[in-house]
Amino acid sequence: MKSVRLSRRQRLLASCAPIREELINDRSMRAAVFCARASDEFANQQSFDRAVATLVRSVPVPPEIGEWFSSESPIARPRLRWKKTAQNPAVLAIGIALAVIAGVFILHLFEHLHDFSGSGTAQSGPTRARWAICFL
Amino acid sequence: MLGDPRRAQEVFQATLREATLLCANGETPSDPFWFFRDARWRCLETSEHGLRAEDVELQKHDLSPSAPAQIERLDVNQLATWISAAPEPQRTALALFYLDEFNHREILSLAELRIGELSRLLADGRRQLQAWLDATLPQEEAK
Repeated sequence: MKSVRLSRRQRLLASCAPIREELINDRSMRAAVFCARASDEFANQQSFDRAVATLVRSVPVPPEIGEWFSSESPIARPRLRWKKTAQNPAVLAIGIALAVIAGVFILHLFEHLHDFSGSGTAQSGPTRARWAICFL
Repeated sequence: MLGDPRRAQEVFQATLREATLLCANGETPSDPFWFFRDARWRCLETSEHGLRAEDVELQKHDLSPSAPAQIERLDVNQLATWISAAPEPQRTALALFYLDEFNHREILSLAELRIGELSRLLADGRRQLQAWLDATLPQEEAK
């Protein structure tokens, strides 16, 4: 019979180890199961638990109750109201960020509104003239 | 939890009615396990009124490698009766654990237990169930 040395905490966790692997979403539980897996005692526990869970899953659902869940959403979700949505911090933050971006864009647009088509060349013109004088 | 389909259905309907009323009033429960918590308390309340098994020290046997074969031979109603006769909070722990839908943290939260307590309740429950299986379906017969 194989047995492994586990800490007290690991023994406690291994005793509550979920039957399905998908339910092990905790690092300490995963470590405890990994260490305990080598022991026969844990293997017995797991096969015992699996057998009981299989039996539990075979419990028939009464047809009257099954009918209640015939549709996917027995309880309609509450409708989102725009006021409540607007008060959401994430929505507020996104709204403020968009407003700032729009403000900067408009400011930039107004700054360059009176520029004419050759303004770039005109601005670099005096520098070129200075070079020409030096050359001559 | 109750070992009685009729009373279980009553609890289920009462819980669903409560959930519907809350939703209708715009007070949708924020706790994702609200339904289970509410149903559990209703089950405990209901079982207070009915006949209760006496608290006796049950025998405990070590888990046997042939236990799965014994469990296969078991009727699901027998298991339900056995679990519903367990004392609280062991009954809640066993019922939630063998539903195989919750991780250990969720069970701790739902059953309001600590890890040491849950571990002891489950380990004792397994060994008591094994002793009961040995008495009801002896291993020679199971083979």
